[in-house]
Amino acid sequence: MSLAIRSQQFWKRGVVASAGTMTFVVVAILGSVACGQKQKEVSVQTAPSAGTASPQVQASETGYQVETVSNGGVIVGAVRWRGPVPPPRVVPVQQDAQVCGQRRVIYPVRVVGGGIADAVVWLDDITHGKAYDFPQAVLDQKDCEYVPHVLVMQPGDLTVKSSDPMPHNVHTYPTVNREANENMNALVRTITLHFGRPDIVSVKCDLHGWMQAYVVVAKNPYYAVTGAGGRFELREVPAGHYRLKVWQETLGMSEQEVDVQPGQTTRVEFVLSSKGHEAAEVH
Amino acid sequence: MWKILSNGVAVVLVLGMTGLAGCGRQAQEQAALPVITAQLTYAPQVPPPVTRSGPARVIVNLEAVEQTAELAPGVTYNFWTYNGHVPGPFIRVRVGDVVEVHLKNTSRDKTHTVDFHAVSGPGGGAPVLMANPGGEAVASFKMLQPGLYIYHCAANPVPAHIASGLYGLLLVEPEGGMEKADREFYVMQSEFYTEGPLGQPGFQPYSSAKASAETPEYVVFNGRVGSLTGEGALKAKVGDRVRIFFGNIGPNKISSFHVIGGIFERVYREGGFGTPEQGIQTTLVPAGGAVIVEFQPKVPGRYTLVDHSIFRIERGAIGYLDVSGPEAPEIYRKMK
Repeated sequence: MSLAIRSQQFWKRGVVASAGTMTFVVVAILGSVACGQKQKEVSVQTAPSAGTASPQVQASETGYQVETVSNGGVIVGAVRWRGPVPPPRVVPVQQDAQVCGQRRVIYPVRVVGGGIADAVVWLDDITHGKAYDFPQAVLDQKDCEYVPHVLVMQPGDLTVKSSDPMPHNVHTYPTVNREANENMNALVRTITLHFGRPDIVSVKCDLHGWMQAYVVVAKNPYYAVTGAGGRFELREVPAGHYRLKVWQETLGMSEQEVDVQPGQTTRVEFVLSSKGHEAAEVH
Repeated sequence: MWKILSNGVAVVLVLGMTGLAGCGRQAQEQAALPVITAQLTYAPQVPPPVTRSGPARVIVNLEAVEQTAELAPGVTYNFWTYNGHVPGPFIRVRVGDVVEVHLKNTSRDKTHTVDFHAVSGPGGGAPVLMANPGGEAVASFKMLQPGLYIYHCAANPVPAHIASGLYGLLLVEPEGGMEKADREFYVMQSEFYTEGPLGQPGFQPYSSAKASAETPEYVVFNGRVGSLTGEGALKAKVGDRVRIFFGNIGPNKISSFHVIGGIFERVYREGGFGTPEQGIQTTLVPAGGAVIVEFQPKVPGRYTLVDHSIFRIERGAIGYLDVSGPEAPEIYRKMK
């Protein structure tokens, strides 16, 4: 610490220093602080706390501009499943079975009414349009599962609750945001995690291994989570030509192009299968 | 050029260059250390004493493995283990050694790590050894202080990771080593919190509620009921110097470690290598602590290891040391 203070004073005084001298100073500071510090720096990177990304970062990351949308179009569609439905995985419960039940059933693809539920559909390249209108982002831990299983949120804060009597930990595996691993228990019922950048974040509990959620941080407001029948709807879309993407946790990503006309409804269908994904026709 | 620099800057340069030189020297010294792979043993076995006269870089390979195994006869439990054993391997090094830990995590859905109580630094190394599912972490630590130390998982939620079996002992021998013992044993006490009551057969899930309430169903030595009885009983001969490296992970209870029929002639209290205490009947071992005890059985027969919070023998905290050899009626004789 004293070295850093002294070097700041040195620069403030405006002492004429040659490049060679500056190099010496840098080397000196590095020499004095770097030895043996490398592992600690790594620890900061691997186990940071959440909530440090700034709103300025998210604005520059998304590049999305909010403006009034008049006479926008609507995209209505469904994400269909083709082929035999993948069998669920049955996981015997090895912790807290009195609360969590004896076994949990994990669906790699949740097919409801011929369509895929819990897929996320969004306009990937839209640059301007309506303001974010998502509900407040809240992820609950209830009866040893995350509710909802897939959550779409705008960049910002995620409230994580626990409605369960036993401890959980919320371990996030982001791609571009900061990883978090927070304990929750009877004394910690609610925490806030910050996701400032568009991302798809896997969320796990390190005690109850079957618990899994996905938080999709949206780069624009034109995102939807599919429901029964794989149905989705995107409203107030400015007229234009867009790339429409779909993501599902085990099937990955697929896309197709879509034209939106003023005041018109565009119908879209994705057909996904375990062998690959196909973009179906735009009606 | 030097003339225009203030004294302060000169100090910066001198200290900095000194630091850099020191760093380089340390790196050179560590690079010059002989590299050996630790000989790991599993309870009740202890690795042989360190015979090296100088420090080494000691590679310790750990693997976090989850497996279902027997906790008590007819009772199974999902253990989270280091290297497939509860407790994990006994690691034996000497002061000055640089321990290079390779932690592989075979779990498909849980993060694991290691907090070594022998490590000086944040989290006992846990932050830099955090291994995500399917991942591996590697870090090195210099052993600065001789003693017998606990290590355990410190991934969230930490209590559950400890309660599930992720712990073991690491011995840092002092310079010059320890006095020779004829028998060395590794014994570790731990609690298990099952949903079913004590003895209920079948698979028993871990109970967060009982762990939080500190009401264990099982209190055992070396990871299961009966590990030190029957075929697992420890063996020694009359006159042997017996040394027990005893750890108590808890995760909640303090152990009142006692060997029925033995008097500890030396107790390295709480695992430290200060002057050992003598003539100790029962030694208190905190949760997350350890002790080294030594004694010399002088009479043949069965000696019983217990936690003298004695009802815990009914929950599994009991083991035997069977001592063979000539009778010693001058010490121990039935009169009638």
